[in-house]
Parts: sequence; structure tokens; C-alpha cells
Amino acid sequence: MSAWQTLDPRVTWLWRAQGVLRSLFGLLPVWLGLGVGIGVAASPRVAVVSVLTLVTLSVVQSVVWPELAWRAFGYAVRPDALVVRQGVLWQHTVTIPRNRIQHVDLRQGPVERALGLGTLVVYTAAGLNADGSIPGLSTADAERLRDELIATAPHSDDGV
Amino acid sequence: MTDGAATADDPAGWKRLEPASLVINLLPDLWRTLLAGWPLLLALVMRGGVAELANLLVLAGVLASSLARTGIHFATLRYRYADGKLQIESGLFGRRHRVIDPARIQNLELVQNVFHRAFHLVELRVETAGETGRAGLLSALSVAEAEALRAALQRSAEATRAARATPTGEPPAELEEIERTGLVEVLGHGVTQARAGAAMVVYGLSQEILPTLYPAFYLRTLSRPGAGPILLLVFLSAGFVWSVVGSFVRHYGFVLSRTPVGLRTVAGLFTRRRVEVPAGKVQLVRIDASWLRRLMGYASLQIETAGSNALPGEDRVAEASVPMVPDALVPFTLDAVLPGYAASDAVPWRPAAPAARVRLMLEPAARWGALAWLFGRYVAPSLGLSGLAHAAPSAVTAVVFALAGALAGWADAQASAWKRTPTLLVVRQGFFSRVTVVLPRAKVQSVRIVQGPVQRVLGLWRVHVRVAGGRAISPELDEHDARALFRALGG
Repeated sequence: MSAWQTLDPRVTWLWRAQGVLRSLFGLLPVWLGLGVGIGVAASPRVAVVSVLTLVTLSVVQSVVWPELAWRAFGYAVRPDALVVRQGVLWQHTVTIPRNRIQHVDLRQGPVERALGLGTLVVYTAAGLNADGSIPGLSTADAERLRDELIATAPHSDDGV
Repeated sequence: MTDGAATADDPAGWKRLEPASLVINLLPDLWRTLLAGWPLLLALVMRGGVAELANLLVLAGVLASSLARTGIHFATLRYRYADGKLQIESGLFGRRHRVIDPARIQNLELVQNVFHRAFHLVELRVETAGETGRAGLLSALSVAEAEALRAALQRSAEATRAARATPTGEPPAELEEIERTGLVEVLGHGVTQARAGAAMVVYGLSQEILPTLYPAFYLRTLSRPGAGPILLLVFLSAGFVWSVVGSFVRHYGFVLSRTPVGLRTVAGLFTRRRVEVPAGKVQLVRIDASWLRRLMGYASLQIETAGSNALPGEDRVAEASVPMVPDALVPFTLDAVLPGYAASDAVPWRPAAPAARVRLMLEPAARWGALAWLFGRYVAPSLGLSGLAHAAPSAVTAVVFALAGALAGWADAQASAWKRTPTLLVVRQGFFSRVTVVLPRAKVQSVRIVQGPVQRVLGLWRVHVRVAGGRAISPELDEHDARALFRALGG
């Protein structure tokens, strides 16, 4: 097994920003609605306490969770396969034989581009979703890894 | 087409779509947008037509968004054929770079609609296995450019396949019939396919809707004592009849054969469907053996390949299916579909980990018990079933259902098992709806080992194995077995 590689630490800031934005603009309206519901059913004080607790938990989760996710994430490029492990609560380790790789995507959103990061998405013939996705790679690392993975293994069979 | 040669577009060989793509793509995009927003359009019409200024602004917005998408698509998409691979870049905010190895391409299509023909252009579609979408879509190329690109991709794919080719066994010299399903078996398939749940849902809805829409009819007939069970029986019977008719139409005259190039199934009453599966293309076989089917001494096989086999908007279905196979003939039939299966019969089944079996019993017990308690405590009184609640207090009901859940879980635990041979992985799960998945290890695309928080406490793992036609998930295993299976499958 090749040594586990970690992601670029800057990705934690990207995840934090995404988490905070998701909390404020995605979940906040839901919680405010919930707060109104609780306020009507119970009392305004209970509603305020509930909503504030949820918002605080969410912001803390947005700030702390990316660090844990970063620590849990690792990938290794073996001569025969790409191995990706991830997950804080639900831990996954996926192995993708290199001769099974159908194509590789390098994705960069605007914030990722600003940070010089990219997400490498590896597809096999197995279905609609990508089998392996490695976020938070520096652009240079992502391009190097992409080129390495799509180099065809000699005498390989893609299983299809 | 030169491999990565510099062009007038870009010194690195990048090329762009023809400018006419702006016209060619605009109308389809507009049509898709209108289709997606039909409720909005309906609301506009209901509000007084398109003459009002606000409505006109909405329509102008729809048109502008289509124009913007088409313009961005044209301005940002570029492609090149370099190092023997097709590379496509697109996107304004989220930039995508796709590299497609020609050896992975399943299908290349050149398509011309009326707009393409008007501009002497063509659309090149590139499909790789297992995707319903298209890996590469170049919507407006000149005919010469598209032909050159297609030829280059095909040459590259052929060269790779020739280099990788390995000798295969001798195919059968002529057609060999493996399985023929009779009329009684086809009808039996329909009976065992019937879903009582669907009938129950229809029954429940009818009980909600009829009193509102036709109160007089409801009061005269269905509200009478004993009418409810009769109606339920009618719906259940209708469900069975529907299922039987469906099976009869779909599987009438079913024959499975081996041909010199692979497998063939022929079936169908009105639409005769002949499916040819080339040798070595079977990715996975699913054996459906529900308790009713087992009671009748049969099982049903679903054969999957890497093809997506679904038109846009349709659900994916199996490439070929064998509606009813007698139990005794399942190994023989499977051996014809997946050579080497018969040998796996000698390999003993391995059970789930002991902790997993306990969990399989406790989870349904807790779930069924809790649901029964909630129903007895809150739902039954609100439905006016206080008599039921009085006859069986919610706590008693909860205990009875929890015991039933534990029993069902115990049966499921007994059925959960797996085994692997040098060529196959076989996973079996479920007692009432027993499904056994058989997949050739040579077809494994990726293997994943997963552990959730509860599983971590119990020391359990699951192994997910994906092939191009589906996946198999192992029962919960202890760490030793899970790691061994993970490694054996390439992990």
C-alpha cells in the first residue's frame, strides 16, 4: 500500500464557508418556521431557545466538522488501484482498480479556483454516481493525479 | 484529425463548436425550459394570458435564460483529441474537464436533426458504460470534423482492444435451448409478483376520497358493516389480476437459449422482445425467490449487463429476465449464464456475524413495537377505533408486534449469508423477499468497505461491491471476514 495522502488543508476553509452559507441560507428559514411553530404550540421563549440552539449547533458543526472530515480523508495511488477513505461517523474505504476507470473529471467551482483547488471525480462503468471523488486537491496535484490515473494499464480489461 | 495538432482555434489543439450551435441548441434548450416550467406557464394562462406586462416579463426571462445558457455553452465548451483521448472542457463558474479513453466507449453516435441538416452540421454523442447521460456530447460539428473525430476514436479503441484481446473458449456451434417457460409458470410469476401493499394503499386512498367526493354512495354502500373487508378483498384481487395479466403479456412464450455468440431470450405477447447478450457481458444475476415463489418451487432470474437499457424518463430494467425457473434447475440455468456457478454449489454458505444477527432481530422488534404503540396510543383513538384500543391496550399491542418483529428479524438473520468462489461472489438476503445476487469477480468495478457509528460499537462492517449492472452488499460481517472479502475483491 502506498502511503496515504492528505488533502490540501485549505479545503477546510472552503468547507467551512460552504457549511456556514448552507446553514444561514438553507436551514435558517426552516428553523425560523419551526420556531414559529413551536412558539404557537408552546411559548415564545421555548421557540427562541430552540432556534438559537439549532443555529449555534449548526455554526459550530460548520466550523469544527470540516477539520474532522479533513483528518478522516485520505487517498492512496497504488500501482493497481486508487484507494479513497473518508467519513467521520460513517467510514468508507473504496478501492477502484485502475483498469476499471472509465473517465476522470476535474471540477473547479469559482471559490475552488480562487483557492487554487480542484475536485477530482473518478468514474467507473458501475453506474450513475462517481465511485471515487477527491476534493481539495491543489490544481497541480489534481492535474498530476488525473494524468496518472488515465494512463492506460497495459493488457487490462475494464470488466465491461 | 491529427493527434493533438495545433489548429487555427488554439495552439494546444483545442477546438470549439461551430457558431451555428447557438441556433441549433437554443430551441431545444427553450423547449426543455418550458417543459420544466409548465406549472408556471399554466398559472400565466389561468391569470389572463400572456398580454399582461408581468407575464410578458416572465416569458422574456425564460427566453433570456435559454439564450444565456446557449451562449455560455458555446463560449466555454472546447475539445481536443490528444494523446489518444478525447478531452472536453466546459462551464463558466464550475469548470469541468473530462478525459474519455476511447477503449471505454460503448457507443458512438452521429445525429442530425432538421437544424443540423440546415447548417450541414452533425452532433457527436459519446456513451460510456453504465451512464444514462452521455460522457461526451459535441452538439454542433462540421460533418467532416465529426467523421474524423469518430474515426480517430474508433481507431484508438480498436488498437487498444486488439492489444488486450485474450483467447476465449469455444462457443456452442448452434442454438441450444436452456429454459422454456410454460403458460402455467408465466401465470404463477404474475401471482407471485403481486404486491399486496399497493392494493392496501389504493384501499386506504379510496376510504379517504370516496366519502368526500361521493358521500351518498359511500353512506349507502361502503360504510355498512362488513363492506370494508370486501372492498379490500376486491382491491387485492384486482392487484393479482393486474399482475398476472402484466406477466402474461410480457413473458408469454419465454425461451432462454445459448447461441454461438452468447445468450438469447425471446418473450412477449404483443411486443416480441428478443434480447441478445454477448458472451462474457453478464455483469450480475439477481435471483428473486419470495416465500410464495419458494412455496411453489420456483425462482425468477434477472440478468444484468453494463448497458443502461432505459430511455429518458424511464426506469432502468433488467436486460433479460427468466420469469420462472424450477428450484432444481436454477444452478443449471445459472451455469449457462455465468459459467462456473454450478461449482459454487459445493461451497458452503457463510452466515452474517453473530452480532449482526442479534441486531437483525432487535431492530425490527424495536421498530414494529414502537409503531404499534404509537398507533394504539394516538392514531387509533383519532380514527374512532376506541373499541380496538380498549380490546388491546397499546402496551400489549406493542409487545405482540415487537415479538413478531423479532421473529421476522430472526428469519431474515437465518437467510443472510454469502460465499465466494475463485470466480464468483454470491450474497443472499431476506426471508420473505429473498434475493440472491451473483456476480462474477472479474467484473468488479469498485469495492467499498463501510462502517457506521452503531456498527463501530458492535465491530461490524459491510462490503459493497459494484459492477456495471448493479451492486451486491454483503451481510454485516466481523472485521476479519470483512477485511478478507475486501482484499479478495481487490481492496
